[in-house]
Amino acid sequence: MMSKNEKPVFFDLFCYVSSSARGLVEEPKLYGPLRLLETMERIIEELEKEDRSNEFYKEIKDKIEENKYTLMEDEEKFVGFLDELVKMLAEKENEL
Amino acid sequence: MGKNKNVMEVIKKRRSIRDFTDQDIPKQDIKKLIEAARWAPSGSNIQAWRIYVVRGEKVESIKKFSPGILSNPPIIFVMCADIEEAEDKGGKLSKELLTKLDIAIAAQNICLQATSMDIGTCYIASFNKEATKEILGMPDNHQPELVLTVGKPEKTPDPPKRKNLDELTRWVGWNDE
Repeated sequence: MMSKNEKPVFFDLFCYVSSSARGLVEEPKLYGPLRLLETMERIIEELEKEDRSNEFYKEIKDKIEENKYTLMEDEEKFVGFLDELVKMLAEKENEL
Repeated sequence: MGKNKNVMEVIKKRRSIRDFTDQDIPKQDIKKLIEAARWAPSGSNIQAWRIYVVRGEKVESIKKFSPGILSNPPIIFVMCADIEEAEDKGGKLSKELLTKLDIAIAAQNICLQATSMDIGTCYIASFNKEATKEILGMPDNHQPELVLTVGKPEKTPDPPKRKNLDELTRWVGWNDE
């Protein structure tokens, strides 16, 4: 039995991911990408807490925060954002 | 917002608020929201719905199991069906459908009353019912159906696109075209 003080890293994230997995069985298809983006954001937040993030991840997190709700307003714009996000990562892959 | 806002203005002003300030909502104001719900129509007048008004640490716990809550609400309402009462008084129809409709209508009353008081709300269906029951220590007969996040809006989004009237309406028995 763990106390609240001993809560392991990523515990909150696992609560979120498991609840998302259960919910997505019945939820709209496009909520899947939204949950994955939110998961990326939360992982970056965990890295920030441990001082293991970087400028590139911060840029990604800011972009997700700025664009994730476009899903509710404009599906085409949301999908365009997902393409842009993947392209950013592919460009970074080429740099590394 | 003044007292004289008409209903259509309030309906059109309501937005799904996903960004709240830290400001608490006084209990008196919360009671006004519940009062609005209390006057909602209910199938066979059974009123088999219950509201858990949650704030503080428990909000944080429920948020962890609620992928649909992407914001920082100071308060959440967990709207529940009392499935035992619904079935006892209204049978299968009430248990499986009418109480859910009643909850949706009561929730809209809350959202409109809140809008008229410059309080923001958002309907949340993406939350884990079992985890929510566990965290709030609900009895077996209380079935969570809907969460409403409640707080003072930090940002109010623009209204999303609406389908036009012709797309939504089929006029029957109207010969005025």
